[in-house]
Amino acid sequence: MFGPFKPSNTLLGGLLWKIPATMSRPQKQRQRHRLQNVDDVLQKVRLGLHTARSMAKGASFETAVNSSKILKPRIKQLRVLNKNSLFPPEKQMSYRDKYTYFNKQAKQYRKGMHMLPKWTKVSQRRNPRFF
Amino acid sequence: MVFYKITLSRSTIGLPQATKNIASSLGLGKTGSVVYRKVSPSIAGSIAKIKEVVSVEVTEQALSPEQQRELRKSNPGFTVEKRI
Repeated sequence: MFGPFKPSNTLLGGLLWKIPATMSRPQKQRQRHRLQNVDDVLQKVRLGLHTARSMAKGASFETAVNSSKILKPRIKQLRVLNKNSLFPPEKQMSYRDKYTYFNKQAKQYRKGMHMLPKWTKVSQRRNPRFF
Repeated sequence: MVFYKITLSRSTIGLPQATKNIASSLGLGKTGSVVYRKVSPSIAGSIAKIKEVVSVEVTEQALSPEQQRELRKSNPGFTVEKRI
């Protein structure tokens, strides 16, 4: 009973969840950083479009990039991503939305975000209505 | 002219084929590869599709691969005055 045959809870008792129910603290920290990185990318995309439009109007690159108010992009694909109610930035998200997601099979309709397939490479920020 | 400096900061492994195609259509291959693309609504939409795996900067000029290599070079601490 050594090495791979060492008795452990997993080997001795049939079904045992190997994924913990909640995320660990560093896991949550990394998740937060990923959310912030996505927010940063979207902000830069918006800034680029704003700069291009401002420069077309005659502003210089420096003033366009550093302007306090950013023009709203008129692009269909970005409409959902620019709405705070549909795609909230990390700062505005609740603990519940950052680390758990809606799942209709789960108890209380919530599962840890780390249970979502490919969870580090997908954006899951929206809940269904009333959940 | 305004450009997006797009860096593939994370691998596209495990993503759907359609998403991988978006990355390759932007010119991104290996992780860490950098491309400059002129700001346009279509490029913005493409970046938004792969927002989880890229990092983006807004620049005024697009740099050629040679210029990018020059930027990465460290200061050797001497200057060559004359080659024999």
